[in-house]
Amino acid sequence: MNDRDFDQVLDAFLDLGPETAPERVGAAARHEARETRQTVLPTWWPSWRFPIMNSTVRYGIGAVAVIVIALVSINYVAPDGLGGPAQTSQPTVEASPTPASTLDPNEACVPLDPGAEFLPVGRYCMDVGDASPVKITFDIPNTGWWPWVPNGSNDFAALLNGNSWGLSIFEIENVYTDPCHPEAGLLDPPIGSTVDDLVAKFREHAAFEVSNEDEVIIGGYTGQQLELSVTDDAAGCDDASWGVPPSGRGEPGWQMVPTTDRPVRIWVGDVDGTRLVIARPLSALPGPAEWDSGVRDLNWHAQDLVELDAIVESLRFND
Amino acid sequence: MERQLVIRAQNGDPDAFDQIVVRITDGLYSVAYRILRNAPGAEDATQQALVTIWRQLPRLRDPDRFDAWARRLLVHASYAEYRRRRHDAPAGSLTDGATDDPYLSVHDRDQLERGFARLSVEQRAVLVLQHYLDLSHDEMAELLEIPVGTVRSRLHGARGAMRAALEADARPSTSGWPA
Repeated sequence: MNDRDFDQVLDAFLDLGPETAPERVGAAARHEARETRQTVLPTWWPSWRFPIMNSTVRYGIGAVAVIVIALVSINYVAPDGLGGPAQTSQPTVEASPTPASTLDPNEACVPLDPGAEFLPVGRYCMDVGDASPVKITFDIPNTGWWPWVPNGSNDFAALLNGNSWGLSIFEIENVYTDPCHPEAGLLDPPIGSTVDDLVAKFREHAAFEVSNEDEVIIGGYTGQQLELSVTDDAAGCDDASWGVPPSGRGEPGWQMVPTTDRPVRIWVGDVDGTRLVIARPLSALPGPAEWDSGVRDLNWHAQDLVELDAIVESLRFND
Repeated sequence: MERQLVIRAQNGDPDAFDQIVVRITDGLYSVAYRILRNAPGAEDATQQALVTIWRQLPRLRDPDRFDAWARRLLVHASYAEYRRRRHDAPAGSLTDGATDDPYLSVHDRDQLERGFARLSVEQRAVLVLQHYLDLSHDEMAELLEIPVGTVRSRLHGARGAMRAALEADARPSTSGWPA
């Protein structure tokens, strides 16, 4: 059988089947929609859209953004004189002790529902992304975290606690030549494939300041943990999309965006041959939505950071 | 989908969403059924996709891309449903009943059923997108947000498995009976 005949056979095979849904399907969805609120989209957050990059570039990036457990300060730079409160002299905050997971170690994980509202305390799992072999399991230690999927998929999700705090996990295969000007493209040839290659790239780039490097085990995998901040020289970046690193969708600035006063802690590890990066905010600053609303509870955010640590501690890969 | 209808639903108009549901449910269900080969699973995946569409509509930047976006949510809902039901026996078949399709004998159909059942859900999805929805590789890559190479790779694997299933019977067995 030649390919054309085989195609016709497959066409015929997949044409068979129902073309109409039982009435109850649409009725149930309509009913549930009337009982369910739509997600309120923070004004600073980019809406879902189709990637504009061609497949060659996407290959070049080859990174698959994965799960973001609440993001902080993404694409948000409170412009002076536009009503944003000054970001200096944050009060000292106290947080409760890290909530150790009370879940049974043998408890099975629940596949993450990207459309869920607030997640109950529990264990969740998801694939890192369509093109990634890495699977992630993590515990939600307290209520208040909710998933957000900017593109309606599992390859870039978010768990927000309501004020845009969080943790990003994604793969990186290459970085921008100049993260301040992503339109300049990716490094060619790309960086090497090891953990050291990526960390070295952060170290050598004049825009970044790397500190507190250490070997840290997450999910049973040893990686290099470091704190990344942006140097004063880079503060003049004119598009305010300091994407570090490029997202899997080829769009800068979708993950952690360190600014001069908002460093991030990142962990770079090799998970069964996949270079994985985990990033989280270091400081308890209000999220963008709070800047807009004027409601800021730094004690609450200090607690968020504690819970973030607990989530990181619970992370398991490929269980 | 009409742009104004999508925009109204984006702004929280449940009546507009009702109209959208009426228009897209059959199409989504047809795709889910072909991926899952399981009527209850297809119903659940379609319903989940519809609810997710409602919830996430405010995040859709370009209302003109609604149809592709909705399909994408449907495919991912099907993935989730497949994983939830992967140990369930299929509740139905794509091909219950006779077929008079000139390209598909009843025997070939059964062989293809077996081959399809062995595919991963991701392989099933690309086969359905290509052969049922007639999407191109680029369109599939965009819809699934995976590289075109990954689409081709999945298709290659899926087609190979389906061809092997179809041709299994053509190979002589040692007993002299069809394999």
